[in-house]
Order: sequence, then C-alpha cells, then structure tokens
Amino acid sequence: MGQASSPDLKSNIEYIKQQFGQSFDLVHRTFVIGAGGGTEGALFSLDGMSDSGRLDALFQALLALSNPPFEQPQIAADPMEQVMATIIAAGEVKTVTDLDQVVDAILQGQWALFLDGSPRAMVADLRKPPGRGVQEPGTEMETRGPRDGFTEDVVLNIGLIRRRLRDPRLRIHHMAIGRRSKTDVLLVYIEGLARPELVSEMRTRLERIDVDSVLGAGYIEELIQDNPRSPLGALNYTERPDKLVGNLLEGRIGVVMDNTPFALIVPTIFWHWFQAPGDYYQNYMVSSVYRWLRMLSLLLALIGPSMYTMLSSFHHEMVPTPLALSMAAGREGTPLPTLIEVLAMTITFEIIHEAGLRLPRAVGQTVSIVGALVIGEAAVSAGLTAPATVIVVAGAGLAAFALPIYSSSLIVRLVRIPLLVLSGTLGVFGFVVGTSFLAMHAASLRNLGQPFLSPLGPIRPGQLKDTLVRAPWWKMGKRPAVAEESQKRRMGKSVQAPHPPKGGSR
Amino acid sequence: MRRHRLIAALCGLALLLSGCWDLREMNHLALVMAVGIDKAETPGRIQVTIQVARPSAESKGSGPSQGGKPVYIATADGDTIFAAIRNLAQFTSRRIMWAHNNIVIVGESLAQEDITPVIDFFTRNQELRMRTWVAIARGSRARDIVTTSTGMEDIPGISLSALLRYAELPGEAVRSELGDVLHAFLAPDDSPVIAALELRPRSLTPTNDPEQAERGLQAVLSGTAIFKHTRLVGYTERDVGRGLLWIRRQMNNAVLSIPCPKGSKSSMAVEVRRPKINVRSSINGQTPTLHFEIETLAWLSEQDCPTPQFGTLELKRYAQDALAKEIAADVKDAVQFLQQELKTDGGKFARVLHTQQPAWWRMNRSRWQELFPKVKATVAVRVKIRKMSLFTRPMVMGEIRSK
Amino acid sequence: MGQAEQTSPTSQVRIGAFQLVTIFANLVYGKAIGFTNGALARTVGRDTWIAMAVAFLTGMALIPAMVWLARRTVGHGLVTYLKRLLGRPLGALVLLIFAGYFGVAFATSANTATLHINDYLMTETPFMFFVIGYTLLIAYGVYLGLEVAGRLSVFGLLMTLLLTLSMVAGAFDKFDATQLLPFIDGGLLPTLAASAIAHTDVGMAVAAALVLLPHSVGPPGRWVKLCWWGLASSGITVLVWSIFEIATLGPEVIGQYLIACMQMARAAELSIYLHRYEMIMVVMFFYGVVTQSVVTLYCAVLLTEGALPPKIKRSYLVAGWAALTVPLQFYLGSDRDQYGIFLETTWPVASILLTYGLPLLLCLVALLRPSASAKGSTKSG
Repeated sequence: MGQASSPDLKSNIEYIKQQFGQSFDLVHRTFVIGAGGGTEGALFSLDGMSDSGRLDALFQALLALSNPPFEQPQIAADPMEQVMATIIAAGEVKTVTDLDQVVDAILQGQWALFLDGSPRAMVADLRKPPGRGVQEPGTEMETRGPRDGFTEDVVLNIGLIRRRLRDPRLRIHHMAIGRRSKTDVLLVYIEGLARPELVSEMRTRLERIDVDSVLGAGYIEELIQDNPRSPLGALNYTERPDKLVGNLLEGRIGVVMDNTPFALIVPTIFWHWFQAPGDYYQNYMVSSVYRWLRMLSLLLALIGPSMYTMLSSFHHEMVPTPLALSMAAGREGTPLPTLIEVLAMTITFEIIHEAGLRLPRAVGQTVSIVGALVIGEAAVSAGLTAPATVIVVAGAGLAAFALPIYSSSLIVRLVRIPLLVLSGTLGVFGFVVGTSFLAMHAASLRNLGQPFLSPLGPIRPGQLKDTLVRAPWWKMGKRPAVAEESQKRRMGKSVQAPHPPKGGSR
Repeated sequence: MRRHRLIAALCGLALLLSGCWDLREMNHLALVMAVGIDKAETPGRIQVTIQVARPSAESKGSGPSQGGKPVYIATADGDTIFAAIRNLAQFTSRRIMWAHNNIVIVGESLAQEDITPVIDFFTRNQELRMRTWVAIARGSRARDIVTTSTGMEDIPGISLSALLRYAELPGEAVRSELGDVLHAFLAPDDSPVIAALELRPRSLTPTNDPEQAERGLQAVLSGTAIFKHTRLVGYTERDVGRGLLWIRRQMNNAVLSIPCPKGSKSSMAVEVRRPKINVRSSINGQTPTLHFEIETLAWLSEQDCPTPQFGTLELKRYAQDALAKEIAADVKDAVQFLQQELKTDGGKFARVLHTQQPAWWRMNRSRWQELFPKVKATVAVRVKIRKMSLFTRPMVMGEIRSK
Repeated sequence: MGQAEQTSPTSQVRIGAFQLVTIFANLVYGKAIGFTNGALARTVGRDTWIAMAVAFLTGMALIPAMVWLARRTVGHGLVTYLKRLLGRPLGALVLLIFAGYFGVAFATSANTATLHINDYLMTETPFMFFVIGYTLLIAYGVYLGLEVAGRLSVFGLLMTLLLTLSMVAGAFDKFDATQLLPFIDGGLLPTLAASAIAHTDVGMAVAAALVLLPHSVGPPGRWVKLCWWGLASSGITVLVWSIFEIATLGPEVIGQYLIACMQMARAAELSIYLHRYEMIMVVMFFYGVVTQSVVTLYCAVLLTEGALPPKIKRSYLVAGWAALTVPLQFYLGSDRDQYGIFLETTWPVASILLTYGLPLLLCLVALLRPSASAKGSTKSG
C-alpha cells in the first residue's frame, strides 16, 4: 500500500515526477478533454518501453471525447468512468488508486492516465519493450527440428509455447521476483499432468525468493535447487520452446522469465544430460546410438584423463606392451610427472576455451584453432609433454562438449579435476574411491522428490523407454512417473506400430 | 556441524598430501622383455640376465633418437634370484619392471640341478603374470639365449614369446606357461614339462648387428624338457616330442610326413587338424592300462611322388592308414621314452588315473614312481582325410590316369 | 547435500524388491571369490566348488526361518521387536552382539578391498592409508542411508557381472574340466565341514536379511523368493569363479595364494593386445565390495542405534563405528598369514554361531512368546 492518488491532478503529477527524478525517458503529456472547459489530464509513460505508435491512436480516442457530436452529460463526479467506458484503443485497461502501483506500471512500460477530479488512475497496457525478434536459438541447434528460440520478452515466449500447446489447461502463474528488478517470472505447467504437490512446492520456493534482481535464469536456478551445495544439482534448462513443451507434456514444470531466453525445467534427472531435442525428430535407432555416444563421451570426459594418468604413473602393467613402449618413448625427456602434465594441459585447454568465448567473432575462429594446434604441437616438440597427454586431454575436453546441456558439460569439466588429482596421487585406489564417492553422491540426490538417477537407480522398468534408448514413438504410450498418476496414458490404445495395409497395395 | 564437516574434509584432503609411494613415471622404468636365470660361476649363487627395451630407439614420432640397439642387456649375480635382481640396480639406472616380461629362460645346468628357485620366485612375486612363457636353454646358458637376436622383431624377447605362442605350428614342443609349470610342480599327480630353446646357426643373412654377424646364432625351439621332481632329466626329439603332445592331449595341429608308396623315396605331407584325443583307463589285476583313442581330421597337403596307381579314394585310404600308423608310432615312442629312458611321468598318466580310477590312485599313489614304467598303453587311431587342400585328384604329369 | 537419512530405524526407509535382490547378490560376492576360494582350495582341493555350493544351499535353507522372524517385525523393525521379545536389557545386549558381528564382517569386507589393492596394485603404500581412506568412503555411504546403498547395489551387480564375464572370456581357453574330477576327491565329510569357511560370506546375507527385510517394499509373501533369488544369483557368480579357478589354474596353485581371485585375474588374457587387464577387473570388483561394506556397516550402525538411548545422532554413531573399525581392520589385515588363519578357523566358527545360531535361537524364543509379535500392536516403536 503506497501513496494513494488524489483527485488533485497536480499532486499526482508531482508525485510521479518526484519518483522518477529527472529521468530523460519519462514522457509527460498534458491535455484537456471534454466539453465545457474540459477536464485536464496527464499521460505518463516511459519512452522506449512503450508503444509510441499506439499512443497516437490512444490520443485520438481521448481527444474524440471532447468533440461533438459526442457530447454527453457529466455522468458522474469521476470523469475516469466515462473515459474507461468509451476508450477502446488499448487492450488491457484498468484503474488503480495506489500511486506506487502506477509507478510500477509505468516502469513496466504501460501508460498511466490521470484526470483532474478523479482519484483513480488508468493504466493501459501498451507495452513494447525493446528486444530482438524470434531467432534461431544460439546454443541448442538441431539439424532437424524447429528453429525458433525463446527471446528476452516473456510475453513472446509464452506465445511460442501457446502456439505449440493449444490446451486450455496450460497454466501460467505470474510472479514478480526481485525487489529492484521486479522481473516477470512465470511458472508454467499443464494442469492435470503435473502433480499438484510439485506445483505448490515450486510456487512456495519461488515466492520465498527475496533478492535484489533476477538478471538471468541462473539466479532463480540456484535459489530453488534441491541440492544447492552439490555440483550435480543444476537444473535442466532450454532455449527451445519445443523442448520445454515436450517436458511440460511429460508432467514437468517450467519456469519462464523475462530478460533471458533460457527457461528452467524441473525436476531434472541425470538422464536429461543425454537427451537432445533432435533425438525425437530423428529416426529412433539413430537417436539411440547417438545417446550411447553421448554417454560414452561423458565417461571419456570424466575419467579419460584420470585413467591415462593412473596408467602412466602407477599401473604400467595394464598397458599392452607395444603401447607401453610407445608411451615410454613418448615420455623420454619430459620433465614433469604425468599428473602435472595432464593438469597443465587441461588448464591450457580451458584457457583456450575461455579465450575463445571472449574473442570478438571476427578473430575468434582463427585464434582458437591456431592456439590449440600450435600449443599442442609445440609442447610435444619441445619435449614438454608426451604426445599421448595432448591427445588424451584434447579428446576428453572435446568429449565434454558432446553433451546437449551446456552447463552439464561444464560440470563434467569441473568434476574431472578432483578425480584427476585423486587418480594421479593415489593411483587406482584414488580412482575407485573418487568414482564411488561420485556415484554415491549422485545416487543420494533428489529433485522435487524424484531420485536423480531414476529410472535406473531405483530401477523402474516401465520408465526406461526414454533413458538408455529412444524408443520409437509408437511404443511410448505412457508418461514418465513424474506425471500425475491418472494421466499416465498419452497415446491412444489403438496405436500400434505402423505397418502397410493388409492385403497388399497395388 | 559445519565445523565437523570442515574437519572431516581437511582430514580427507590431508591424505592426499601424504605422498605417493607407488608413483613411478614410465621414463624411470626399465621394461624387462626377457630374463634368463643361470648358475653363477661361484657355486651356490645365481646369475640373472635381463633384456630391457630401450624406448627411445622404438619411438616412432619425433623425439630425440639415440641410434643403437633396441635392447639393453644387464647381468648380475646373487645368492638368490631376488638378490641378483637387486644387484642389477647397482648399475642399471632405472627401476626394473617385470610387468611386461615375456619369457623366463632357465639355463640347462641350473635346471639339471634344481628348478625350484625359478618357479618359486616368479610365481610369488606380484609383478609377474601367470601367463609368462618358460623355456629351458638347451645346451647353453640362458644368458646366451637372452642376448641373441632372434626372429623378426626389434626386441628379441618379443620374438621368443611369439615362438612359443605359435609352438603348435611345428608341433614338437609344449607351450609352457608359468601357471602350467607351477601347477605341475605343486600337483602330486603331475610333473613339469617345459619347452626347450637351442642356439643354432642361422642362415647367413646380412645383419646390422656386428655381434650377431660374428656368431650367427639364433634361438630355435627344440623339443620339450622333462623334469623328474625338480631336476631336468631329458629332452624329447622330433617324433617323441610330437608323441608327447599327443599323450598330453595338447596336440592341435601338426604336419606329419608319411612315406610314399613303394618305389619312391619321397614323402607326403599330411596336416592333422582338430584331433580329438580320449584317454580311458582300466585296471587289470594290479596294472593299469591307458587306452589312447585318437580321432582326427586331416588334409593331404603335399604329395611329392606320383601315384598313378591310385585313384583319389585309394590315395586317401592309403594316406589315412599311413598317418594312423605314424601317429600310433609317435605315441608308442613317446611312451617308451618316458617309461624306459626317463622313468618320469611327463604325460599326465597319473592325472588320468587319479581322475578315472580314484580308488586305485588313493591306494597306490605313494608307489607311483615304481609303478609308472609298468603302466601299459594302447593306441587306437582313426584318421579321416577330408580334403587334399584344393586338389580333387592326385597330380599326375600328362599321362593316362587310372580311374 | 543429498537427502541424508536422518530418520529413526523404525521409519519408512524403503528399498525396492529388485534392490533387495541386488543387495543380497552383492553381500556375498566380494570376499568369497578370493579369500574363501583360496582357503577352501587349501582345505579340500578340487572340491572347492562343492563346498561353496553347499554353503549357499544351506544359506538358502535358512532363509525361510529368517523371513519368518522378519515378518514378525514388520512395521517397526528388528530393534523394537527384539526389545519387546527379550526385554530391554537383554534385547539391547543381543542387538549389540549382532552389531558387533556386522562390525567384524565389515572389517573383513573392507580388508578385501584394501588388500586387493595393497598386495597387487600398489604395494609401497602403507596399509593403514588404504584402511583409513576406504573407511572414510564407506562412512559417507552409510551416512547417506540405505536407499543409496540400494541404488548402488544395482550398479555393483552390473559391474560384478561384467567382471565375471570378462574373466570367463579371458580364461576360457585354459579351462580344463578334468581338473574338477574326481568328485569329492577329499571325502564327503571334510567337504561339508569345509563349507563352514564359505559360511562367513553367505552368513552376511542371511543375517542382513533380518535387518533389511522390514525395509523392503516388496510384499512379505515374496520375501523368501526374493532372498532366494539374491542368494542364487550371487551363488552362481561365485561358483563360476570357483569352478574356473580350479579348472584353469588347479587347486594346488589356488591354495598357494591368499587372494586367489587376483591370480585368476592375472591368468586371464584377452588376446595378445589386452594381456593383462586385472586392473579393470579390480575397478569393477571394487564397486561390488563397496556395496557390501556399506550395507554391513549400515547394519552395525542401525543395530547399535537401537541398543543405545535414542538421543545419539546417527552421524556420531557412523563416525564412531568408522573410528572403531579402523584399528580392527588394521589388526586383522596387516599380517596376511594371520589373517588367513583367522578367516579359516576363528571367523567361520563365530560366523556360524552368530548368523545361524543366534537367529535360530531367537526364532525359538519367538515361538515360545508369540505375544511379542507385531500383529495386533497399535503402538509403533
């Protein structure tokens, strides 16, 4: 409850101007409408946040009120009533008596209209915040599938969702989070598919957030995670509306917000790390094989350097003799123990990657390629590292990028460092202890009640159709366990594997 | 609570700092490729010779290349094998690693005296595998074989292991692995048999190695060494070697020569393929008899004499009979050699009797040494020649054939 | 951190039916293929596998009795039931003895893992180092709770199967079935008596049944079948090892070694390119043993928690047990030959007494005092 607006136009104008200071972009337009001396009024908006094109239409409509033959007797003491009843130029229009709410509305890009003599202010939703139009998503490209991605405008994003999901039971619950940013955060789910207890839990968590601002999805993510202290606790997210809608239809909940094209998807399980949207558009056999490839990449990225270090420093008996001889030959003259070498190469690789991110697009490609090649080649020729080290580190680094969710590849690159150090100092003991620890930790995580490793730990055979393989669409008749029990079936029972018509075709 | 977690984490991390005892970089290791054990000049001591791979000469990529030999030989003496190995560290600059050792060669004089130290050390040690090959240096010292360049590989140790791996091709020596030898050594119903390597002159091919050119020797597989208790008592030759493989049911593939029919001094070559060897036993009175039943397929691989008198079927029948006779003769020769000359059960007779006649074995096993030469053996061989390699009729020079 | 189990033993910690089977499968495997096989080979030679099979069959025969007892504890766990059956002080004593059994069982399980690595792969590192490191890992697992152990056991079983398959593939060419003959070479009675050595492994599963079954999700009517499946599957995998060890290396050779399975692993060779892959096998083996260790230590902690006044936090108990078993493991395992003798003589006797004798005694008491059963009781714990 803030400052109440008064019928006195001047005091209202004073208040608004005082709240905004001498802001350059505050548009203040006074006018007079109505017959017989007229009523004074004032319009406020923020230039750049509102639709100035439609302002003209609004203005025309207002001014039309003062022209004959539109003479009306004074209806009520409140001129706002009349304006509200007749104005049609704006879509969503409402009246507000709290001046702070008016300020908030102006900040959102809406138009505020004051009339002398009315204690109410009218707020018209003619927002047009600056932003880009729908473009191809920058991070999750697929060769076969839609190319539209979310943008920073949350209304546009909802539109992209709506066009795919013309179900009236799609619920969008709005919250403004962030004391100073008041970012629009929308909780999206399909009523009847998402479990009500999960939805209410998410609501509670979101409402509990009390921060200054929400500038990106990561802010919200870290504040609503089940496992904030675990590196594996990150949530699934996407820039693609089709991925979000697919998850909504499986009973999950999405969090879409303003100012970021990334939407969060909860709950997240480990197997999401291997699911790419393109899997569902390509042939299922191909998709399944590529899923295995991604799992292999994860393994390679996580334990590749560790195994190499372990074999080279501790357990030479494991290496087949010809390879052992080449490895020994490669190590001749290198000054550092394998662990330090691998760490140095890993750090170099990370530096190249990070530098590649920061370089302007014009020079980025060249410098990163040159950097990688030159450094790798030079290090070997100078005798600083063994050639095998460069291969292993580069291979592991690349393998990490095969994962569809970019943040998961970053997590992998992070987690493999302690594992590497353990293997390099404690050999196979360090390796198995490290991996056991990781496995136990992953097995203990839960997201919104769903175990992180399910459906493989605990095993639920009926749920495995989208985990290790991507079963063909004619087999995926049921939703995953996260969805509401009563809505398990998602395909008609009569749908079988497609087959040619009986009796042959001529 | 948070402090406890911190303490626990620090304790865990402290473990990392305590040092890496087992860490050895590969360029500080000497990978042993072959090892030879001999009696040292001083009585009671043992001499160990190792053949170590030199990786820089192996290096395929760019790297500092030190021209020269691909292996490095080192010899040292000691009271025990382990002591001798430790003495090697007095001058080898790297730590010796046994994990890639291919073969253990035992000098003849040591084998004739006592093979126990070799078997004990190499199976007790945790760095060695059970599948390492074992061979006896026949007629020479193990050191000579370890230092001789053999075969086509850069590293002679690898060549030697390949020799033993493919020993079934000449079909005259057993493929003796450390595990087998240990098993035979420990089992009350078995005796060790070990392949033998002999140094023989090689054909005069030019070689880069001046030492080799001088001596011109190479290691050659040469029969099987039979052991009685812990001592070497004899070697098998040619036919007897083959017969031994038949008896031990380790024959897989061999090429035998059968004489051509009367009127020709040449031979025919028959390749034995996939034999099935069955040994049955029976006790008559107090004497056990072993019945060897051999059934094998064969290919006629080479025919060095014309046989215009034979049609295909008759030729095959002739060859089958000749081969059966040949195999039976080999087996009988081997049995005789073991029973009469060496008086040692190198053919696993005891194992068969133990398995098939447990009651008899339990009663008589303490007297096995004297009973063994009295065991009777019968051989029944059936041969089926499936094909004559690619030919479907005997090769005859442009003459009228008989049908 | 994850949802660490902070609940009391009477609460609804649940493991699935399949997880029960896999836990059982993992509980027996670790020590059996190495130490027990070696000890059996020393005692009865080529009848190792027969003695092993007898032990498994005996275990399976005892399961119905355990299940019967466990069913009477449904709803509130073994702890409360025992206290009700025997009275508080005696019940607490029995719980502590039982917990002590699990503690020593954990020590043998942990020694399996640490000795494997210390004796074969990393010989220079001091033994105590492995003991402490491994115990810390297991303490973390126990702290996370039974559900995590259940999930881990599925993974552990998968690794165990892979391990067995890779061993078979690598040793197949040297398999000589005649080594297994003649049957019962050493006599029937000695073979049966020797199966006591294998009871040290099977007994762990049988005893754990009493503790774990009330937490299982499956309906009590299926418990016997589930336990049998668990024992049977682990029995088959262990027997494969026993048979292969005898048939490829021979009983005399296996008897020479304390950790027979590692020699077996060293004799396996997958073509000339992968001629020595026992390290991969150790890695796979390790996850199964971790599950075994976590479950045994968990049982020890759970039972101690029930015996002592309820105000002690579980994490302290876990830490306490961990600290207690470190010197125990070291004392048992540092002198290898003494450890071998312990595993061959002392421990089988203690095992049979505590895992067969004690529960059977409890069954007897329960028969005489049916009023202590869960049915009809409205109070929980």
